[in-house]
Amino acid sequence: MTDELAAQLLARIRADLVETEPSFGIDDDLFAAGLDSMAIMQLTLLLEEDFAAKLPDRLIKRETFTTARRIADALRETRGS
Amino acid sequence: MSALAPLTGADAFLLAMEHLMLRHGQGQHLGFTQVRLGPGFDLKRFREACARVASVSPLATARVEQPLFQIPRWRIGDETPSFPIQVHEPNTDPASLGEARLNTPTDRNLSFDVIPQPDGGTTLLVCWRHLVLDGKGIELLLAEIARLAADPAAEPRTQSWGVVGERSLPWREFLGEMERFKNRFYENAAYKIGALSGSEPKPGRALCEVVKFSAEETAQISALAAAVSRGVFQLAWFLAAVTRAHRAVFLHRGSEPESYQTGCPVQQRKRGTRHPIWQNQVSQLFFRLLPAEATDLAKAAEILQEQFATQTRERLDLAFSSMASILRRLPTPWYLRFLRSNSGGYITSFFYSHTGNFLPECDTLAGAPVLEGWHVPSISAPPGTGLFFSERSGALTATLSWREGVLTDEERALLWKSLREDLLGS
Repeated sequence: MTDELAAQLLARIRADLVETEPSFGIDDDLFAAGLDSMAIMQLTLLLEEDFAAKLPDRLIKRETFTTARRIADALRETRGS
Repeated sequence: MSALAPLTGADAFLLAMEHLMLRHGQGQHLGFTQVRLGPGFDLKRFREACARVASVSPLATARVEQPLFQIPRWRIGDETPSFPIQVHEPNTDPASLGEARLNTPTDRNLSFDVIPQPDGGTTLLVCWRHLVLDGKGIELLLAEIARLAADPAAEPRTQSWGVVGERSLPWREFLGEMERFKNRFYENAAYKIGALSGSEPKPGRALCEVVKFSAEETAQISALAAAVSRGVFQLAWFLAAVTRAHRAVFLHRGSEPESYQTGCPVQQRKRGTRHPIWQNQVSQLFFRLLPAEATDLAKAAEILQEQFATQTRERLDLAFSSMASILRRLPTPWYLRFLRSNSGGYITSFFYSHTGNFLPECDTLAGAPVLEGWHVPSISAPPGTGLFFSERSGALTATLSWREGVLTDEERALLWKSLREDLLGS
């Protein structure tokens, strides 16, 4: 299913944080692609600066950052709450 | 044909550290990487792949030149590049050989030792000058050799030798970075630090010990780390445990420094990238724990986590990188004096890194499955000790590197005991 926010996020992650194959999609595992502590910290900062969303503590967990779609879900949840 | 390339900021820092080591009878700043392979290693294919990488890379022939008050640079020699490969008897002990390599002067930037194992497997040792590349660089080099060994028709990558750390900033932004770095620097410098070697460099051999944790133990460690770090920020948790392990030795000696401080390397390469291989492509973040903050592991991890968040928000990794670029212009003895004079001579309390998954790019190398691997850098005294972690196939490896005379056997046992108890929660 298309998810524009997730696609947008993935583009930013690719540009700044993680190098992936062109076929890497919004449901592919970011940890398998190399996401680590430092990159997650930079990603949370990127979400604040570029997407105007500060994830609440309860969403700062490994599951949130597994795929671009899950990060997009967390962003929507944050904005809606 | 000769060519020139500037040292990165991290290269120049390591040049200063090597200067200290050479001046005080501690040898070159070398490291080795040990890789245990299963059956099927094809030495001929491995040799050919190494020769192909060497032929297009500066790794084999690069030498440092340091014109006065200019950025030191690499001169890439025009001799025929090659990586020496020595094959040993099957009864050779890889750990002893690795330690011997750390203490043997060499004019080679990189060399390989191949040790056939009685079970049909092979142990590979890569000995490397830390000036030439970092631990991640070694893994990327092995991945490139593996790629070429798997496909003899493949072309070696020629674009893997650039620099990721060079940035061109407007003056205002640059000054802002310097200001942020300076603030952090002086905030830390307000606290005296200590290191187990004492502040004065002394001669001594590089020594090392590797401890492997089983998959079950590693799962237990990960679960404990996740409970504190929410499964995403394990850096702070491991660093807290390493600080406490050093603290255990200080307490045993009956004195404690005003603070424990260390730099933590931050990769400047994008995650998942296959290059650049050459040069040290890292910056640093700086952490500090006071003795009262280190009494409890969870509390210590939480404090370090806050420092991690603040420094990431302030992009202090980029700020340090900019500062390191400026410091490259200092003649190496002055650079070293700068490092030591602002830390009471200690430079840092200890060295630490967690390089994450070991060689995740490779399932096999020259026909043999990659079973496990780790890095062992030699370290200077001061600070005299370093603890380094990596993981392969869900099993954690910890490497203690120290300088002869810095730790007694009893203190080393104490350090490991504290680390194991913290990591395993026992």
